[in-house]
Amino acid sequence: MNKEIITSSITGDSYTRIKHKSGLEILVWEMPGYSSAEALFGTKYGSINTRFRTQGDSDYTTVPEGIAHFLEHKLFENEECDAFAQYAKTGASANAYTSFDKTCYLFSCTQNFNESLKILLSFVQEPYFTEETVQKEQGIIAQEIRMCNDNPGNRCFYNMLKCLYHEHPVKIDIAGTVDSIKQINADLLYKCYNTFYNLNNMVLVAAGNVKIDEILAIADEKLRMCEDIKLETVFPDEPETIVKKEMTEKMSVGIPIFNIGFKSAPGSGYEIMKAELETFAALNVISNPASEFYRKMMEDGLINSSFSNEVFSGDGYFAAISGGESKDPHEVFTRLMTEIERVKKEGIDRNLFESIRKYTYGQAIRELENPEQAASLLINSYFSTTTAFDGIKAISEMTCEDVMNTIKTRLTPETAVLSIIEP
Amino acid sequence: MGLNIDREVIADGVGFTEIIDPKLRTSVLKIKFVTELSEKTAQLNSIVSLLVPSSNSQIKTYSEMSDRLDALYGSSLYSDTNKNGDCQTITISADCINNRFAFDGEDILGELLDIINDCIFSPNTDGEGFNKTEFELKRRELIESICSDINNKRWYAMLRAQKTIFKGEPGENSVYGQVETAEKVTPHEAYEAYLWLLKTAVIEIYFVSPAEDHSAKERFRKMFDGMERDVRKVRFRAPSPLKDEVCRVTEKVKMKQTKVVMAFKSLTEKREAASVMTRLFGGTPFSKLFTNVREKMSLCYYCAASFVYSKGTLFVESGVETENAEKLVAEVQNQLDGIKNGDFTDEEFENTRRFLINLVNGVEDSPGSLISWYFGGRCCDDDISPEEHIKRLEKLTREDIIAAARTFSLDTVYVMEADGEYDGAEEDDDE
Repeated sequence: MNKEIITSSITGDSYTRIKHKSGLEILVWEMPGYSSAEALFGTKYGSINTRFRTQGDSDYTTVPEGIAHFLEHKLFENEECDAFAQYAKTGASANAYTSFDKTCYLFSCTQNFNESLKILLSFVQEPYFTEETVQKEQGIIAQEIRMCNDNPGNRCFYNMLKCLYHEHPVKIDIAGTVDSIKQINADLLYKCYNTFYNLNNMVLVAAGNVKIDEILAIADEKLRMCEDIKLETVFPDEPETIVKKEMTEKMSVGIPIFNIGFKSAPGSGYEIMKAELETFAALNVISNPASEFYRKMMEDGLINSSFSNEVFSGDGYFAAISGGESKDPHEVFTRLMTEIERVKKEGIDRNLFESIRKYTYGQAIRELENPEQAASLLINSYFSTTTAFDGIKAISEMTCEDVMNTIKTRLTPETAVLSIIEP
Repeated sequence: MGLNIDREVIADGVGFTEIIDPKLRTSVLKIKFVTELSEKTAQLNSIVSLLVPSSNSQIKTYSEMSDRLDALYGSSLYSDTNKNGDCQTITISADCINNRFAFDGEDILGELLDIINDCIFSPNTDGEGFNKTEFELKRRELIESICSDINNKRWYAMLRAQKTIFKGEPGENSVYGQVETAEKVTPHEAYEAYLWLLKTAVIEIYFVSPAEDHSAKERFRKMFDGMERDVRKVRFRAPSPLKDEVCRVTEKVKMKQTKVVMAFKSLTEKREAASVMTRLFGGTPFSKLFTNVREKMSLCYYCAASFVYSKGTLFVESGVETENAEKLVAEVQNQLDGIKNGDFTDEEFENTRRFLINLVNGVEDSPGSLISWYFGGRCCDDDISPEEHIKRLEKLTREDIIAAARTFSLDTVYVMEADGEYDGAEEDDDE
C-alpha cells in the first residue's frame, strides 16, 4: 500500500493519498473538531462515456444515452433490500449523483461512520439488475427527465452545448431521454458496470470526523482485488468550430434566459485546471459586477444580478460561459463581444484583476470550510488528476499577463454561441 | 458540541448572539429584522432588503461595493427575505474568510464590519429617500425576480398553492410582493419603510466566528444606543385554521410535468413528535412516501413532506404525469392514514429518529446551520440547544407519533397541471 501526505504550504492543511492493493485510490482528510463526516465512492464514468472497450473486447461497445445515470439509480437496489434501508440502521444521509464524467455515491453522518462506510463499499460492489427492476425504474427516471425538461436554465444550457459541439456526447442530456432509457436492459447495465466499476477506475474519499486507520481496515475487509482491464473510452473527433451561432426555444419563463458560450481547447491535469481558473478570471475582468461593462449593462436594463460567469470543462470539452436573464439577449451578446475586443486592444484594469484574484482565492479558501466541501474538493482533484490544493497555489501565482493571454485565445468571437429561452 | 454561545440583549428588542468556534475558516454576521407580514409592508420591505446591502453613504454604487468586497477576498454582503409564520424576516448577511489567510495581513473582518455598519446605520440616501439611481436598479431587479418565479416550477407551484392554503391570512402573501405594486413604490416610501423597520422590528443579530472578537457586538451596541425604538411584538406562531371542506384547486401552466401540493393542518404543539412523524411520512429515502409512492408505484421522482410548525401545516410536494395526479393524492392520504393507524414498525420509527438525531448532531459544523438552528428556536419560542433537542427526541414513543399523525387533516389539494395550451397560470377554482 502506497501512502503519501499532501500538504498545502499556504493554508497548512493536509490529507493522505493511498493506493490500495485492490487498485482503488483512497483520499482521507481528518478534520479535528468537526462532528460530521462525509464519504464518497466514485467512478470515472459519466454520461459522456457512451463508447468504450476493454482489453478483452475486439470492438467498441456503444450504449444508449442516459445509461450511466440509470445505473446509478439501480445500484442502490440489491437482491435482499435497498441501500437506503441499510443506511436507515446507521442514521446516515445517503445520496448519489451522475455528471458528464463521473458517478458518485455518498453519505454524511455524525455517528456510525464505519458501519455506513461498510454499507457504501458493499452495495456499490454488488450489482443486482433484473428486467423487472429495470422496467420499474423507467417510470421514476422518466419523471426525473420531465422535471429537468421543465427547468428553463437546464434547457438553455443544453441548447448552448448543442450549438458548441458537433459530435462530443457532452451535448446529450445526462439522464438521456424518455425514449433512450427504454432501450436500457439488465445485460447492458451489467456490461457498463463490469467495465467502469473496476476499482482501478474508482476513488474513495472521506473527510471530517474520520480516522484513516479505521478506513483502511474497512477497505482491506470490503474491497475485492481488481485486475486492471485496460479500459479505453473513445469520443468522436470534435472539430474546433462551432455547430451554429444561436438556438432559441420557447418555454414558460418570466423574462428571457440566455447562455453565451465560448468553445476552446480541452486538456487535462494541472495545466487545464490552471486554464480553468485563468478563464474564470478572464470572464470576470470583463464582466463581473465591479466592471464598467456590468455597470453600464445594469443601468441600461439589459441584465440583472442573475448574470454570472462559469467555466465548464472535462474530458474533451472546454467552454467559458456567461449567462443570466435579459429582455434583450442579442444586445447583451453584441455588447459582450465588443467589450472583449476592447479589452484585447486596451488591456486589463490591473486593480480589477487584483480584486478578482483575491475574490477567486477567497472562494477557494471557503471550499475548505467543512467536511462536505472538503470531500467534494478531494474527489474533484482525483478526477482532474491534480491535488486538492493546486487550485489555491495556481490562484496565488496567477498574473495579469496569464489572464490577458487567455482572453486572446479562449474568448474568441468565432467560437461564441448564444442560447435563449424566451416566453 | 460545547461551543461558546452567548446571547445578550444590546438594546430594546435587539438580541445579539455570539458563537465562537475555532475550527471555522470564515466569519458570518446576520442581522434579522422580524416584522408582521402584510401585503403592503412585504412589498416595501422586499425592496429595502435589496437596497440596504448594495451601497451605503460611503460606497455609493453597487459596482463600487462589488469591487470593495472582491478586494476583501470575495467577502459577501447580501440579503434575503422569508416568511416565518405570519411574520416577514428580512436578513442582511455578511461573511468573509479569516484574517489569517490574507496575502498581506489585511484586517478583512474589520473592514467588512465597517461596511455593513454603514449599510445599516448610514444608508445611501439623497434628500428624503434612498438614492434614486440605486433604487431604480433594485426595483427593476425585484420586478424581474417576481416575473421569474414561474421558471422554477416546483417553487412556483408552492407559491400558488399557498395562496389557497393560507387564504385570508397574512401567510397568503408573497414576501416579494407583486409587480403592479412594486412599480408604484417611491424611493421616499422605501426609505420610510426602512426607518420604520429600524424603529419597530424585532431584531436578532448573529455573529459566528473562529476567534473571540466582541468588536461586532460593541459596534452594534453603540449604534443602537440612543436610538428611539418602539418595538412591535410579533407572533411567530400562527397556526392556519383548517377549512370546513377540503379545497381542491387546479391551474394549468405550459410545462411537461404536473405538480401536486397537498396541505394537512394541525394545532399540535408537540413539535418534536410532529417533526419525527413528518420524516417517517415523507422526509427520508426510507419514508412511507418514498418507499411506496416512488419506489413501489413508480409514480414520481420526488414525493416529499415538510412541516412548518409556525403555521401548523404539513406540505406534500410531488411531480407526476397528469393522469396519475389523483392516484398520487389518494396514495398520499392512504399513507398518512396508515401512520394514524399505527401501520409502521418499531424499526421504521427508530430509523427515522436516528436519522433526525444524526442531522441535529451536525448543526454545529457550519455557521449557516448554527444560525438557522438558534433563530428557528426563537421563532418557535423554544430556544434550545441541539443537545436538548436530541434528549427530547430520545424520549418520544411510537404512541407519540401516532397521536401526532392523528392531529393532521387534509386542508387543500393544489394541482398545477401540465398543459400545452396555456402560457400563464389560468385559474380553475373548484373551491
